[in-house]
Amino acid sequence: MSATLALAKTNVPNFAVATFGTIGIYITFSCIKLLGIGLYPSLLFCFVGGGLVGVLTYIFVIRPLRRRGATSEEIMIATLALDIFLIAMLNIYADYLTRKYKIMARDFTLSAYDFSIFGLDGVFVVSTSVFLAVLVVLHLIFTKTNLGIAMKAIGENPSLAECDGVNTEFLYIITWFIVGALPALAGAFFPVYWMSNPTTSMFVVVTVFSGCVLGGFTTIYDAAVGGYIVAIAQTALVSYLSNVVGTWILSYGFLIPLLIMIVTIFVFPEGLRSLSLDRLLRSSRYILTRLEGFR
Amino acid sequence: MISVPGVEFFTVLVTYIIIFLIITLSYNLAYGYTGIPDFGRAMAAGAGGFLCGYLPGRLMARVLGIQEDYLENVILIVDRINRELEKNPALSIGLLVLTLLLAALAAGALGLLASLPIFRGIRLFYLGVTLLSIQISFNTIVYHWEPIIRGEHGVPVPDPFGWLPPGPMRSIGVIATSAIVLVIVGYYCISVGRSPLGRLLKAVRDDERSAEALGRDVRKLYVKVMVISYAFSGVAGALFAFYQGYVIGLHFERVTWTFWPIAMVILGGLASNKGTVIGTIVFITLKRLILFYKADLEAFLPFSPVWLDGVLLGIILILLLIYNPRGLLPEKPEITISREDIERIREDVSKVL
Amino acid sequence: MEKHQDLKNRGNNVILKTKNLTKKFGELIAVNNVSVEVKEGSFSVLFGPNGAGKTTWINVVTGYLKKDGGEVWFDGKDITNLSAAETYRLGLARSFQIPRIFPSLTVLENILIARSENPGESFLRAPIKPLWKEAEEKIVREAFSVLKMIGLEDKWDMLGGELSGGDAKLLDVGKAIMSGAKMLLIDEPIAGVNPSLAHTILDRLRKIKEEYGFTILIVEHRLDIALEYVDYAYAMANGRIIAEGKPYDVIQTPEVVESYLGEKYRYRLG
Repeated sequence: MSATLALAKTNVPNFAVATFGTIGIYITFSCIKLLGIGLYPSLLFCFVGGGLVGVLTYIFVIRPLRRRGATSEEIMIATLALDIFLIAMLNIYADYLTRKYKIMARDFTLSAYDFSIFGLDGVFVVSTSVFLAVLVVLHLIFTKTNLGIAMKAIGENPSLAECDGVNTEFLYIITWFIVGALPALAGAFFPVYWMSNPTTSMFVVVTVFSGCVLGGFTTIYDAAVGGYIVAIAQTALVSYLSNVVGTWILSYGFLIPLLIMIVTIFVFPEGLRSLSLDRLLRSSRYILTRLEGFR
Repeated sequence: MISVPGVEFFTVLVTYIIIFLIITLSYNLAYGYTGIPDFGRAMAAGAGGFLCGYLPGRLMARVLGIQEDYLENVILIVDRINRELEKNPALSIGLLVLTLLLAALAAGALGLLASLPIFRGIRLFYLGVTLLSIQISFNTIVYHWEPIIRGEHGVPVPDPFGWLPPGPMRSIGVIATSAIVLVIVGYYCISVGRSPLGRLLKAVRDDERSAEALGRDVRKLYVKVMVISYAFSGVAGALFAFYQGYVIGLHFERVTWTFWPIAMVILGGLASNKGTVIGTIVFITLKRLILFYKADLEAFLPFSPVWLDGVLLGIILILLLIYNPRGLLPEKPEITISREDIERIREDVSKVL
Repeated sequence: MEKHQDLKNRGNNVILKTKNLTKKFGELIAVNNVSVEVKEGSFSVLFGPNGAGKTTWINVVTGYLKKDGGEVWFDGKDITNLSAAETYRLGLARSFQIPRIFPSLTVLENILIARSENPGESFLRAPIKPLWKEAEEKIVREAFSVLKMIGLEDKWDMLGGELSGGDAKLLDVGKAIMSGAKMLLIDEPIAGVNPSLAHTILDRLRKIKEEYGFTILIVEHRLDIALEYVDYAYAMANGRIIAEGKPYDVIQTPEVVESYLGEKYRYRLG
C-alpha cells in the first residue's frame, strides 16, 4: 500500500518499502527488549520512527535526485541502493545489540508478548483493526481535507499544483512520512508470527510488490485489495499444499506471489481495475501469439 | 602496525577485476546501450556458478565410474576427481572449456526467461520489480532445494587447475583463463558498440517506438541482447566458482552481483566501455582493500565489518546518482567507420551534387 | 504560377486515397466521411483551424489510430487495416508534430538508422567489421546526399538532442527520405519556428520533392507562409473537407473564409 502511495503521489517507485517494514520490526524489538514497553504501545514509536526514516529518505535521496532532474530509472536504482544501505545498517544495529546488551538480535519472534481475546490472537485483531483504521483515515485525508486534495494534485501534476499555490515541499514531506510510517507499522506485527532478522525484507518484498502490481499501483484501495488477495493466496495455498505434498513446500511459498505478479503483468498490466472479460480474452490471445513467435 | 598488501593480494585482486569486468561489460551492453534496467543480473552469474557445482562433478563421477550417491559423499568424490584431474591436464582443460560453454548456455537460457517480461510499453517499474523478484526467487530456490548444490551447505567444485604446480602457478592459470574469456567478451562488447548494431541499440534505448516505426523488431532485439549478455555473465559466474573451488546457496546474491556492477557501470559512464573498465577497477580495488584490512577494522568497530560493504554501496550509489550520473567518462557518439572515411565520403558527395 | 501548374500535371496517378474515412472519439466525430485523393508527385497542404481533425486524419491514415469506417488506399494497395509499421514499410512515412529524433545519436547516425537492411546490425556480424564495412560506407554515402538535400551536412556529428527545433524537423524529413518512402505526411513542419526559418524549411521541402519525385502532404494551421510553396490545398473544418483546389482559390471560397479565416484574411487577400 505504501509503495503505491509513493508511486502514485510522488511518482517515485520505492524499492526500499519492505525494508521500511524491517525497521518497524527492529523498533518494536528495541522498545520491548531495551525500554520494556509492551508490543502494542510500541506501535506508536514505529509510526513515528518509520515516518522519520521516510522523511529522511525524501530529504537526502529523493529531493536531490529530483532537483537534478533524474529519470525514474535512476530514482529506482537509488531506492534499491537505499534498501541495501538500510539492510546493512539494520545488520550493524543487530550486531551492536548483540554485543552491547548480549541479546539475540537475529532470528527472533515476539509471540510471547502477544495476548489473546476470545481465543483470537491479539495480533490478528489489532493488525486488522489498525489496517482498517489506516484505510479509513487515508480515505478521509484524501477525500475530505484540503491536504489530501492537494496531495492528489501534486501526484498528478506537480508543477501545475505549485502554480496553484500548493506548498509542494510540505506535502512531499507529509507523504513521505506516511510512506515510511505505514510499512513500519506493518513490520511491527511481523515478528509476532514469523521469525525476523535484518534480511527479512528480502523474503517479503516479492509478496509486497506482487500485491501492489495486482492492485495496479494507482490508488491505495486497489493496493489494499491486491495486498490482501496475494497474502491470503500465499498463506492459504502454502498451508494447503504443505498438507498434501509435505512441509518442504513451505520454503517455496514466495513463488506464489511471483506467479501472481507475472500473470498480472502479462494479462492485465493496469492491475485489478482493468480486469474485464473482453480484455482478458484479448490478452490471452496476445500471449498465445507471443508464445508462437518464440518457437 | 598496518599490514601491507603482498603478492597474493594482487593476484586475488587481478582475478576479481577480470571476472567482474566480464560482468560489467556485458551488463553495460544490456543496461548502458540498450537501456534494459536489469535488476536480476545476479542470477546470470548464479546460473553459471551453480552449474559448476552441479554438473562437472557429476559428469566426472560418471566418467570415473563412481557408483556412490554423489551428494552424500560429495567431498570425498570431488577429492578423488581432483586427483584424477591432476594427472590429466588435457581432461582438465576439456572439462573447463565444456563447463564454461554450458554455463554460457544455461545463463543464456535464463536470459531468454528474463527477457519475457520486457515488451514495448511495459512500465519501467514493473520490469525492475519483476526482474528483481525473479532473481530473488531463483536464488531462494537454489538455497532451499538441496539436490542442486546442497543449498546452504554447498558443494566443492572440481578443480581443473590442479595439474598446475600449486602456489602462484594455479593463480596464473585462473588469471590466464579468465583473461582469455575477458578478451573475447571485451572484444565483442566494444566492437558491437562501434558497429551499426550498437547504433541501433542506442536508438532503441532512446525511443523504442520510433525504432519500431523504422521497421526494426525491437522485441527480438531485447531478447537477443539479454541472451548474449546473460551468457557472458554466466561464464563469469562459472569462472568465479572454479576459482573459489566451492559454491553455496548464498553465493551470487544481488548486492555483489547486481548492484555493485551497476555502481561500477554508473561510476565509469553508461554506454561507455572505457568508463566501465575504470569503474570496475576502482570499486573492486576498494572492496578488496576493505576486505584486506578487515581484521584491522574489526578492532575499532562494534559490529562485523562485512556490513560495511552494503553501507558503502548504498552511499556510493546514491551519491553517484545525485552528483555524477553520467559517469567519469560520459557516453560519446561512437562512429562505425573512421572519421577520415566519413570526411572522404562527404567530399565525394559534395563534388557529385 | 506556371511552374506550379506544370508540376500538378506531371503525375496524374493518385498515390493516396481515403474514401469516406471516419473516426469518432465517443460523441465527437473527429474525422467525418473524409474523401481525399492525393496525386503522385504533388506538394499539397491540408489546412484548417486547431481541432479540425487534421492530425487525427493523419493518425488514421497511417494506422496509428483505428478507423471507425471508410477505406484508405496507398500506391494501389488497400492499407485500411494495416498497422503503422506496415504502412511505413510500404513507403508512406509520417513525421510527428514533435520530431522523433534519437537524442543520443548524431545527425548522421539518425539518418543512417532509417535504412533498415544493414548487415552490421546482426549480432553475429556486428563484431567483425570487414563483414559490414562496405555496406556501411555505401549507406553513409547515401546519407550524405540526403543530408546535403536537407542542408544539415555541416552538422553531421552534432547530437540529435542538441538540434534546434527547425533542424530537428528537417532531420525527421531526412529520415523519411532515407527510409525509401514514396510519400511524406508532415505534421506542422513550421509550427513554433520563426518566419525566416519557416521559409527555409518549406523551400527545402519543395526542393526535396522536386529532386526525389516525392509526394509531400503537409498539415498546417498557419497558411500565410505555406500557400506560396504548395500546388494543391485541402481545407478542413469540423472533421470535414470543406474545399479543395489551387491554394489561392481555396482560401477565397466562402466556406473557408467563413469557417476559418475570418475577417482579417478577407481583408488582406481582398
